[in-house]
This record gives sequence, structure tokens and C-alpha cells, in this order.
Amino acid sequence: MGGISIGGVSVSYAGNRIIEKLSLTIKDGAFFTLLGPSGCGKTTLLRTLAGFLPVDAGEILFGNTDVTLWPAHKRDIGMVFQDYALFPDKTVFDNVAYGLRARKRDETTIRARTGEYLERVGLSGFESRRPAELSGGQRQRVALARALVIAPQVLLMDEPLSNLDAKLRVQVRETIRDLQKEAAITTVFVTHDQEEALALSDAIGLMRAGRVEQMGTPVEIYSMPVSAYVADFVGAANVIAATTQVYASKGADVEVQMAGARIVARSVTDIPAGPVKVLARQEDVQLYAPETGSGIPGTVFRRQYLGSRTHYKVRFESDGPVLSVERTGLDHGSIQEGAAVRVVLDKARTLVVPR
Amino acid sequence: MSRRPFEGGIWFWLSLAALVALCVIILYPLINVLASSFGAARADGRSGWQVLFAEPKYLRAVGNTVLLGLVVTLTTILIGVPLAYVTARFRFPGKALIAILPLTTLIVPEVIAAQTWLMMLGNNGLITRTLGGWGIPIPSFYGWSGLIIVMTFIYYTYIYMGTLAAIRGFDHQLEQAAQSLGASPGRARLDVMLPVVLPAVLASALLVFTLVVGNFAVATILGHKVELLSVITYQTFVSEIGNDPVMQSTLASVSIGIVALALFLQRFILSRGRYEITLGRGAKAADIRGAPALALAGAATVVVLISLLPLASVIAGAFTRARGPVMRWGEWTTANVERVLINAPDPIINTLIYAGVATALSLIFSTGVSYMLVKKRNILTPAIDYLAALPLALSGTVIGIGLVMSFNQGWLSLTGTAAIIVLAYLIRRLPFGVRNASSTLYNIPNSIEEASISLGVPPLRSFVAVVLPLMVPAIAAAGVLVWTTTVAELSASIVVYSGGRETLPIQIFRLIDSGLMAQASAYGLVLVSIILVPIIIATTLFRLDVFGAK
Repeated sequence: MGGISIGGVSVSYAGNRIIEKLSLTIKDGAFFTLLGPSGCGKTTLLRTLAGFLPVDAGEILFGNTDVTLWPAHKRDIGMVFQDYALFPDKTVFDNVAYGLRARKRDETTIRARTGEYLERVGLSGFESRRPAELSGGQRQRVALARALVIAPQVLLMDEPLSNLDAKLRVQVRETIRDLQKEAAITTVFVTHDQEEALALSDAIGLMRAGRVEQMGTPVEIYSMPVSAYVADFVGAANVIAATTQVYASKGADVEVQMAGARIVARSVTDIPAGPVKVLARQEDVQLYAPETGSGIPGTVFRRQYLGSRTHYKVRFESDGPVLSVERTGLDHGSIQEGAAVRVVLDKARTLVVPR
Repeated sequence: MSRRPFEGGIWFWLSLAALVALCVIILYPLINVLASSFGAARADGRSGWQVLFAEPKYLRAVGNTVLLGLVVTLTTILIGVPLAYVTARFRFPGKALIAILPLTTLIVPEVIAAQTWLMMLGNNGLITRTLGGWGIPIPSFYGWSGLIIVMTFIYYTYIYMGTLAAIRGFDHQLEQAAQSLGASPGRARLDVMLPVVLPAVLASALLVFTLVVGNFAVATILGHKVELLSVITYQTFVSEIGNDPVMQSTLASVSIGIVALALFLQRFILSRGRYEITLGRGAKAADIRGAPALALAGAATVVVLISLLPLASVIAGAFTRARGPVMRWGEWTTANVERVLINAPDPIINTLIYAGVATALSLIFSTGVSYMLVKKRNILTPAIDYLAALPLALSGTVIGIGLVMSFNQGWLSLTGTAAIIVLAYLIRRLPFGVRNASSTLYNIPNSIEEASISLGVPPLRSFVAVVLPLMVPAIAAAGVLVWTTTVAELSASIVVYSGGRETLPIQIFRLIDSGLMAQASAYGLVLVSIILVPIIIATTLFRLDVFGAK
């Protein structure tokens, strides 16, 4: 056992540099998610960890072992694929037992281990079925059992939930998390679904164009995004152009000018005076009646009532940017289209990032 | 530089080996043919090309060949396209009969088709004599009429099958959309269906043209006084009065040029109207009843019966008593069949061995090559892809001449051996095998192999353990297809074979040449059985989709 260290890894594919000098460390037994839009290099990085793609430079360590030059079949990994990749001509039992047979375990052990893992994923009694006779959720459970039964050093999952419908996705997600915790296997999970990443991970690496934009716990990624890119990718955020008059040091409150008003917000990093961006999550923006007097004046021009909450679009009087606002709680739908409001941005929940 | 500890290495060397092999067996003979056409063909030092343009017989042959190609392409379209449309869109009594159409072209070798048509309509033919007895004269079947009729009924299935697949895959909703916009049903059909189906018709038309230009069996047996390229190429090759290596190369080059030109034209036409064809649900076949149904059923039945005529007459001929070239119709005997099975079985044995070896080699080679083409692409694979498809554009006669010229002597002398026949078989059927295996491999996701590797099984063993089993049904179907077309191969093998190594088609061809139709029929019956038995076993016992593979 042991974690994963990636040191200065660069990877090219079809002549293009996909990953550029990427370094990160994953703790032993952690559930680590590579999150990002398609084309950001997250799957390439996962396939590089698996040994299916060679590195141009850098090194990969599993525990203390340098596996950079090891071929995939020697790396002792379990891998779960987006399209399940079950062997269609083999039964469920033979699929799960495949890795144990490759490791030349004796037949009694194979029988016992396979049975145990099929039970864990809730598929006892399905041993003699073939993949075509299973539902999507069941197939992905078989794939999961097949990857875990060999007790690999590292578990790699490439968007394993994306082919499932919404309800099954939550179910299989819980199975994955339970089994991973139980076995305490260092896991790398690739997804473009931010909710999945937040729900499952011990740590998230948010990727952008072959680099890691931000590493952190789900709470850190969501509440302290280091850039507009992160804020916008993980949950929806309002990104508003603004300026500062003074140098802002990391974590300090700083006064910025935006939409013809002055507000105070927290700086996520050291930022010189000049143009900046202000980030405010839509659920953190407060709307008040115009007569309260504080806040920036604006007008609601669109209202979408969604039952548990209401989405509003607000335009500032100063003809500035459009804000998205989400209200919950009592009377969340009480503001009508065309109503004048005052917009208040709480300084503890409003962030300043470099332009 | 990239550090590659991975299995890329072994595949690179394997693809290099495949490329070298293809260069030796396909490119080298082809270059030999093209190059030697520029040599001196006559004592006065004129090159093959100068002679070609100077002697009218050669130019006439070129003209005749192109004309025949165009006419037969047209007639096959006239039969194949309406038949495909009718089968795709209507249900009528007897429609099931049409389902056997693809079978007939496959199981009846060209040489047998030509022979049986002769037995019926030739100067001594059953129908000719019967009608003649009633005082109804029939024009000679030799020459243009015979060539066109026989080739039309051999090749129209290619148009039929290509068009049928296109019409079935055509999204019916497009037609409905056109109608909703105010077009009349007939107009709508023409407007939206034609552009979608046309590329398929054009592609199969090109195939037919290529096959007609390269056709040797029918051209030789029925051509008579009509000079055709494939016939005089072969005659120049075998001619005893000083065989003419330069002229044969020149003529072979001309036929390569004709096919290349046709290919180019097809590409040009298709590229002018580039659009994406969306495959959707085809229209349901509509029931038709009454007189139109009867007319359709009648027309379809006539086409099918004519297609089946060779099969029926080869069986009849095999069991008909004959004295020399004279068939005594109505007098039955098993003597012909007994003779070929007991006294002279050599052609049968030769065919089984050569075709068996060629089929096995072809499957191994094309599976390996396809795997590289689909899953392990590198800078060599495009060249492999191109070379493996090249034999499609070469007639059997050209391939045969190329092999003889290249492996007559020197470092690899194969002339007079069985190996050169097997090699000719292998080259001619390579494109089919590769195309077949490739399309199967495209349907097997890479992740299956990677899953096996991730579970600790090395790459090559993973391929054998998880990919190969999935390919087996397709390989078996391809095997049946390669076998059926290989045992019927004539045009290349007749160029490269030597005495004592006659195969069934060669022997049948020689017997037809001597007018011994009964014995030819007996060998023909054996040949058809050799073709039919694997097909029956594959489709009924193993439920393989042999014809879908084509």
C-alpha cells in the first residue's frame, strides 16, 4: 500500500502535449478525484497512471516504488472503465475471477474471493449470467468487483458513472464509496461532474488545459476557489469585473469598486492594485426591498420558480453586469419580475481573484 | 524524447514485417508489370506502348473491353436497382425467393455460369436445338449477346445488394419531411432518396465495371470473335509462338489503367456532392395485392429463375449421357460423376489443398494486419492499408502475370510450384479478409483489452484471451467467404499453374474448351458442392452471418 506521487510528469498524445509538468501527491488510502471539462487532460493523466500512455518526462511513484517505466500489467492496478469493458463472452463469475486467475490463485481461493466480492456489490446469484443479460448499473458493479477482487495497490476509475441514469448514478456512487473506504485503497477517480466529485472525494484536483488549477478538499474547492475558472466549474458563480485601489494580500478583506458601488470582499491570493474579478455564488447573494437603503440598486428581470428554490436574474441600475441569484427558505418566490431590489454581497462570502 | 517502455516496439516490427511482405507479393509484381511494358516489344525496338497504338487489334480490344464494361454496368443497374427498390419497399407473394439471390452469385463460379449458358444456348445447346427443331432459329449466343447476357446475370446481384443496403438504411423520415413541405410522394422520394442511394449504386457499379473488365472466364468462353483485353492478354501470355512478355505487360497495364481511371471518376463524382448520410429507420415494406403484385412477383421470379438456371443445368449436365461433345439430353447416367471422382480426382484434391492452405494463411494474415490497422496504428499502417486493398483494382490475369514475371527465377523462384498458386489465391482474396476483420475489430472497444491488461495479463496474451474469442465468429464467416471464392478462382491460377496442378476451375475451363460439357458439368457439380457444404454448415449449424460479411 501507499499513496501516489506524480513528479513533473509531461504526456503527449498524437504529437500534442496534453499534460505539462504536472506534480501532485495523493495520500495513502485517499479517494482522489480529477475533475475538469472534457479535453483538460484528466483521462490522459489517469491512463498514464495506469501505464497505457508513456510519459515524456517526470516520474510516477506508487508508495515508494518508481513505476514510471513499468508496463500496465505489472503495475498492480484495478481499473474501472466508462463503458464497463466487461468481457462479453465470459460469465459474471469468470469476469470477476479473471484477475485472480491471471495471478494463478488456487481455485478454492478464486471461488471464495469472487463470491465474496459479488456479494459485496449485491450480485450474488448472478454468477452465470453474461454481461448482455445485466442492466447498466449491474454491469458497472461487476466491473467494480472485478477491479477490487485482486486487492490492487491503486484503483483507477475513468468516468465510471457517466453511462448510468441519474438515479442509478447515486446508488452506484454509494457502493463505490463504501467499498473504497472498506478496502482503504488509494483511488483516482476521473469525472466532469462536480456534484460527483464533491460527494465522493477526500481530495479534488481541478484540472485545466493539462495543469492542476486547484487542489483541495471538496469544501476548500467550493468555498475558496482560487480562480473564476474554478468557481464557475464547481457550482455556478457570478463573476463580476471590478477594480482595487490597493495591494491585497491573501486572506485579507479588500475594498473593490464594481457596478458603480464599493463593496468589501476577501482576497483569495496576493493581488496587486488594478482590475480584478469578484466571485459570488448565487445562493450567497442577498436581495432586499429597495427601501432598506443598503446594497446596490437593481431590477429583477427574470424569475424562475423551481419549487424548493427560486432563480432570479438581476440587472444593476448602473447598467452593469447581470447577476444570478438563488433564494431558498420561506417566501423564496415572493419577488416578482420587474421589482426593484437592493443587492447585498456579504464580505465573508464574496471573493476577489486576479483578473 | 519520449520514454517508451511499452509494447509499441513489437507492433512496430510486426507491421514492418507485414509491409515488407505486402511489398514483395503485391507491389513488386505490379511494378514489374508496369515497368516491363516499356521494354522493346518488337525486333525493330518499338516499345509495348508504341505497338499498342500501332496495331488495330489491340486498340479494338481496349475499346471492346470498355464498351462491354459500360454496357454490362448499365444492364446490371437496370435490373439490380428496381429489384432492390421493390424488395425494400413492398411485400408480395414469392418475395422470399429473392432472399436466395446473393447465394446464387456466390455458389456458381463464373466458369460454370458461362458453361451452363452455353449448354443451353450455344450452337449445340439444349434450347437452341429444341427451338431449332421447331423451326425457330436462334441467333448465335457467341460474341456480344452472350457476353452481355451472361455477365449481366452474374453481376447484377452486386448492384442489388449494394442498393438494397442503402435503401434499407435510408431514413424514411426524410421522405416524410419532404412530403410535409409540399412535395408529392413520388417527387419526395426522388428528391431525397436519390442523393442518398446514388453513392451506393455508384460504388457497386464501379465494382461491376471492374469485374467485367477483369473477367476472364466468360470473356474467353463466349467472346469468340469479340477481342477483349483479358483474353488477348492471356493469349499473349500463353502463345506458343514466342510468348510476348512486353506486350502482356503493356496489356495488363492498360487494364490497370482502365480500372484506375474508373476509380478516379467515381471518387470525383462522389466528392462533388459531399454530404453526411444519416442512417435512420427504413420505411416498412408495404403490402401490395392484385395485378401489380402478380406482375412484381412474376418479374422477380423470372430474374431468380434465370439466376438459378446455371445451377439447375450443371446438375442436369453432370448426370446426362454424352458421346464426346454431344449431349444426349434425357438419357441419365452416373458415369460422368463416377469418372471424375474415381478415375481423375486430381483437380479435386489440388483444389482442396491449395484453397485450404490459402484460406488458412489468408485468415491469419488478415486478422493480424487488421489488428494493426485498427488498434496499433503507426506511421507504417496507412501504407499497409493501401497495399492490402490494392488487389481489388487488379484483375486475376494481371496478378497472375505479375507473379510469374517476378518469381520465375532468382532469389525466390516459385514458377511450377504449388506455392505460386496459393500465393495468387492469397493476394486476390486479401482485401476481403482484411476489410472483414477490420470491421469486426472496430466494434470491439479498446477498453476490453485494457481491462485485461490492467488485471495483470500482458498485452499479447490479453489479445489472445479476450479479443480473439470475440473475433472468432467473424473470422469463421470470413473463412467461409474466402474459401468459397478461392475454390472458384480461375483467372490468376490459370496463368500461374503448371501441368499436374490443375484445379477444378482450370480443369472445367479446359474441358469446355474441348467441348466436353458432360465431364465439365460433373467437375462443376463437385465444385458447387465444395462451395455449398461449408456455407450450409456455417449458416445452419453455427448460425454465422456469412453474407452480411460481404
